[in-house]
Amino acid sequence: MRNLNPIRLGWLALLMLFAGNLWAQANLEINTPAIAALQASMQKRHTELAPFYANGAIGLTREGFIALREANAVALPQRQQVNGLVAADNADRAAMYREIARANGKPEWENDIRTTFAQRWIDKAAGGWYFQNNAGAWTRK
Amino acid sequence: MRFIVFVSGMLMTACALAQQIGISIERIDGPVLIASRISGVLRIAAKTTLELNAAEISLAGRTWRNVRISCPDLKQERDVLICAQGAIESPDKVPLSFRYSTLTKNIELVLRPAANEEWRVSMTGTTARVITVDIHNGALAHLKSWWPAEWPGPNAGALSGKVTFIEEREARVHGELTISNFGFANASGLHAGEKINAVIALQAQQQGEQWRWESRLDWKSGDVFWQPLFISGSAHSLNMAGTFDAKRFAIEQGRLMLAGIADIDVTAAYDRIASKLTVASVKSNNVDMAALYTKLIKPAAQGTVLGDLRCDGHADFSLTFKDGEIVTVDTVFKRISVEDNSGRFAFFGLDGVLPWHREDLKTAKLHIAGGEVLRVPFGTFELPFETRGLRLRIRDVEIPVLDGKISIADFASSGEREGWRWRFTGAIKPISVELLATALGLPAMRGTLSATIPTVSYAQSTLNVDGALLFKVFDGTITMQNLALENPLSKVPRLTGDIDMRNLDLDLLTGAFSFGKITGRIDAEMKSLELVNWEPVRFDARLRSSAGEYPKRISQAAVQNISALGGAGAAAAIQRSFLRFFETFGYSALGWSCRLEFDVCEMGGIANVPQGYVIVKGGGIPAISVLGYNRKVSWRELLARLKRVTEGNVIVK
Repeated sequence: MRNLNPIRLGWLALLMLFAGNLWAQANLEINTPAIAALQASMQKRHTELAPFYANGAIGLTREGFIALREANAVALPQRQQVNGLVAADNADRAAMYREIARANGKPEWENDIRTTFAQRWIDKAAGGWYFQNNAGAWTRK
Repeated sequence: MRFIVFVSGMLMTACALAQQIGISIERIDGPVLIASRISGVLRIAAKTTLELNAAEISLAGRTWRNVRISCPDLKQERDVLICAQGAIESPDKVPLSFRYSTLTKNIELVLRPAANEEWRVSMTGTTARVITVDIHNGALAHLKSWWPAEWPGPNAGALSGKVTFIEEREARVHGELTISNFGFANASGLHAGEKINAVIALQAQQQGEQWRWESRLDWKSGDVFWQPLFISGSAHSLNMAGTFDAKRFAIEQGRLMLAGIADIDVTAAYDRIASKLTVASVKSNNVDMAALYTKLIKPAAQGTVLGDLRCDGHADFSLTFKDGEIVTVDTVFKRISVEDNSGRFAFFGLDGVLPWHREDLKTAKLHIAGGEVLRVPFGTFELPFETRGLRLRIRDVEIPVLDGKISIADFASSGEREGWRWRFTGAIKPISVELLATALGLPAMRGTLSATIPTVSYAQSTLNVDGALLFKVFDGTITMQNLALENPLSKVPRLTGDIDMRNLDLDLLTGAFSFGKITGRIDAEMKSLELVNWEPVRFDARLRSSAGEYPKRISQAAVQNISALGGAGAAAAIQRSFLRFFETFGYSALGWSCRLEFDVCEMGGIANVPQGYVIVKGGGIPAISVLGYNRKVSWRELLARLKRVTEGNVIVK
């Protein structure tokens, strides 16, 4: 939980004392047919998105999604297609966070799982890709 | 040109008196030019020089401050003052030259902001002043200052051509401009154009307080992306005529010809004071739907359910707008067919008139000749409906499906703030299961499918069935309750519900799935069923022989298959014993349960025995019992076994 702020972390520690290591047990690698289907779909789309991460047209948001941050970096005839890819990828991401929370039996953890993944995507991003820092500003890795 | 007379008067008077003359002008007012607080010096020597500073110059609404005009060598030939190599700075320095006749008051001003770029403005005539702007390769970026802030700004391109303004009692303007390699974009890049080549011809005539205008735009080439539409190609054109005055700008006749797509007639009136579109109409007849889809809709619908269709037929569209909002949309469909290229849906022969009004009630009836959904064909039907704003209502419709019908009663939908919602009730009138299975590519099954559909509603991305959905199939009944489908259009739709099956004829059921024949009847229940992406992830299922008297026989193949599902089996035992000489056996009851959770199926039978549980309890002659030994099995493993069994077996009759 790299992305939790100190106050939230305090609450979490308190919660753990009473509820017994609750959040720490969330299995982010959990696999269900739905999660596998979503990951496969995102994997397949990634080859189409990769050049646009590389040229800065697309960036990773701090909310665990992607955004078309510089449409002018995409050739005009492709612009709507890239818009569509971004929307489809975000729909998959939203569904994946929901499914991981549900597979853990804790649908209410969806937001925490999303912010954890947001940090994971940023950590795994290649050099030169853009991401939103904690203040929401676009930063080049 | 009152101001020019005034300035020249100052110059000539001054020249006669001294070698160095100070110039001071408080204000100059022209039709498009206003200059204030002008001061300067004219030095008369071997070379006469002129230096002017204007605190503020406004040209057609754009203002520059601290503008400096210098002319290092001002010459006079008879009545003409000539500045061949001057400059204007504001603060960028642009080379400038001018000729001015003190006699005729004619002036010619030339600006050369870059090599091979020239803006030539001349004013001639005495009774009727003629102002000509002659542009050669003028950078469109210079016009950025005059661009309305809400429009995407120009970022490339050049302008060449001539515009003439004739100032009479009623003024006239005419001109023709060629735009080359024009580009524009807003900050987000979602409204942009590139490499646009076009010719614009314009003429306008003043009539009292009003101007009457006419324009023609010939689009030679270029791309425009106006999210979500992308328009490319050549030979498009836009012809317009209308009026404007201080309060209003009107297009009385407009025709947009999108080559190979559609001809669109447009009228509009724009309130210049309130900055809003007061009324407008857009109309297009006989639009070729194949071209409209391929060139306009398909690129915009990438990745959606409409992204890969084949369209055919024609349509008329007519829209009216008032105060910036759509008021009416009238559509006429003429033999329209739409087919999803991945085979999910299709309809053909759509005909009819579809009127819509923002507030008024409109009724319509569409005729659909036929189509298919998930390869299940449907026949001709009439679709009568009522619309009022975002509300749609269909009172009664019967859709022929195979040899039966689906009837929908009282369909009502509305686009609320939180999203689209709708509801209906209906029924399935007997459809042959055999025909349905063939259409869906399922194993041959017999029986009929009929159902009462209670209220089905959709809101907040969830489809709910209130009440029980009742199917009559395999000579028994299937009841589905508490059905809910979340995110039906997403990649992972989630279906939850409870299913109850009564008195299903095993003969019909096992015959369909190549499982080996079982004669008898079963009841089954599946509680807390949860399917994600149409795959089961959770349920609590149990099936057992129905109550009552009926023949109960099980084939040797079925026994072997049930055993194989358990992972070990009776198959070998049969083969070792005299039982192998019998094709079928009697049984008194059969049953099996599976509680699926976290990918594991926990199994049971009709009774427990020390070694495991009883799946088939023998009865009659010869009798056979089948036991299950494993209580837990991986769901995927179980599915793999079931697949092997149903694929690898020849039905034993």
